[in-house]
Amino acid sequence: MTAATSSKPRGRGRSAARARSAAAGWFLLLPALLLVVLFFLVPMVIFFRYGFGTTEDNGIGDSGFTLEHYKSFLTDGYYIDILLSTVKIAAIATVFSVLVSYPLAYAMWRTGSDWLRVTLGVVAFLPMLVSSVVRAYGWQVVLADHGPLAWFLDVAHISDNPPELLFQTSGVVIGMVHMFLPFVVYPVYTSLQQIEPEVLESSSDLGASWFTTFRRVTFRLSLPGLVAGAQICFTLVLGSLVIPSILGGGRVKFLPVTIYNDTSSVEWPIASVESTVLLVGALAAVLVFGAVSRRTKVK
Amino acid sequence: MASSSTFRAARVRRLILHVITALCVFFVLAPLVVVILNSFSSVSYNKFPPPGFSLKWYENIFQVPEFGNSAVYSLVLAALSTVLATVIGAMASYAFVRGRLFAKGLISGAILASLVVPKIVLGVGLFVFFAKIGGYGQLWSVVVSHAVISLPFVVTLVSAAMVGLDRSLEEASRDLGASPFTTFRQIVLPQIRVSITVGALFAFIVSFDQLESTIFLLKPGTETLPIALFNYTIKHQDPTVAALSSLMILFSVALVIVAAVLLKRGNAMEALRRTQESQK
Repeated sequence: MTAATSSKPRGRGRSAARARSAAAGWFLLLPALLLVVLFFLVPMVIFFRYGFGTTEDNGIGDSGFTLEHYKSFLTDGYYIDILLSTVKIAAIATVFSVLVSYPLAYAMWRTGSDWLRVTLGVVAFLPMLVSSVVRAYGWQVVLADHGPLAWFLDVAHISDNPPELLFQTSGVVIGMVHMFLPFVVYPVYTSLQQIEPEVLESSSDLGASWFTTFRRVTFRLSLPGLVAGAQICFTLVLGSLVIPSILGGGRVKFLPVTIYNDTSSVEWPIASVESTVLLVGALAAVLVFGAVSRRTKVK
Repeated sequence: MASSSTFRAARVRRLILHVITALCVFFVLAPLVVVILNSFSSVSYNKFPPPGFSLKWYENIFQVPEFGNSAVYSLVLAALSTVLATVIGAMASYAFVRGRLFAKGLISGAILASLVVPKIVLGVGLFVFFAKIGGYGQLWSVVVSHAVISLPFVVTLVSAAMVGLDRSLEEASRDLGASPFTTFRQIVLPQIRVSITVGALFAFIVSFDQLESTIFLLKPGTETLPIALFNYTIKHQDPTVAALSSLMILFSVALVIVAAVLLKRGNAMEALRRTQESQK
């Protein structure tokens, strides 16, 4: 639009070339557009339609219109419990992901040795390449009775009565933090890297202690990366099924698990309502984190 | 005096940072190492440290036919969806960067939107859709689903690399009479080869690790490797899962080494950095 208004067409040759270029553009874009419309947007719309379908006549809910499913979701304490538990797990997992990722990214940034930086980088990203099922299984073994954690606590004489983490919210959170760590480390590291060394030098030249410099300069300047990482982590947690299934063992209330179960038992309308709620939650998170991110940008 | 105390403070800080970093590294690696240790256990129940050494769980992998079949299925699926996503993603990137299009923002938004949708929602939605139109359980429906999911990675990586290209080279090629296709193949492609490789690698990894989006799309009997592993883990507790997981960790490490070699050859870190900047 701007290109068309800013430069006036000069003669027929130019405008013909421009039309050809636009046609070529659409031709190149067409496969991607078809793929996304046919196999992403249309399926989503059809699926959300089920949330409003009546189940009286033939039972699967692709016709009629009712708000009954939404009403039962929003008024039933059972669903509200699941929703609150889901948000709680996502929030705690995000906070801990940031707490573990920040020192890792900070060390990658501050270390003088290239070898250590590459090693830390590989360590941070290696889990991303290992299937989520493998990692969930690994934590199941670590946290189990008679597992390595219990063994360590016993041998180190810390406790001979290990804490119960498996099939609890805490176990699910540990698995989530491990799962989504790389997605927080990378943006934090990128924003730390963009800090100019002169800024830090002038802060300490002006007599600021390390802590003051960190708090008022480094941390402030790395906030956009931190917020971006937290947003990615929060959204990814909302979509995960493997960790809560394997580490929650059916005892931890988590919306994706409920969606999985309801879809398996062909209760599509309520699965559709739950999915819509989850999607709205994810979009709300994007908006909130986006607003926070804009406020943290330093000019 | 003051300078020696600040010096000491810096050393203490460095020590604290090292300890925290070591703990983080330990946290990341612990479950993977435990999986590998457990795969050599001589007993089927969970006991740490394992009471004895055995390779029977590795042998047992071959007693479970689903594992072999699903590994082949996963590789075929990942290869097909990677080719699809990379080709149409590269085409779309070129259109975004060079073409004059209206509603560019809207279209790129639609392509990137699948990143934000929780994977389980996408999976159930696609399942309901394919069950309705009749493609449920077939390879092509899973291939297009995975292509939708990996397309955003290809498009962001490749278009970021294209933004930095010098346009006059392409114009010179066109002025000298080369067709748009020849220009793309001879001028554009060589300059963005690394980004396309990294994009394809991402697409492959993303496809290979899909579970939430895929678990409903497959009929029982045809499974991907993560789904076969997931079903086995839910049902059984023996270290066969650990043995297979160890092999998968080994495969990932091999993949990291291949990626590192590729990254070293091309300036891929630069491409990644540009991707980050283009997203701001």
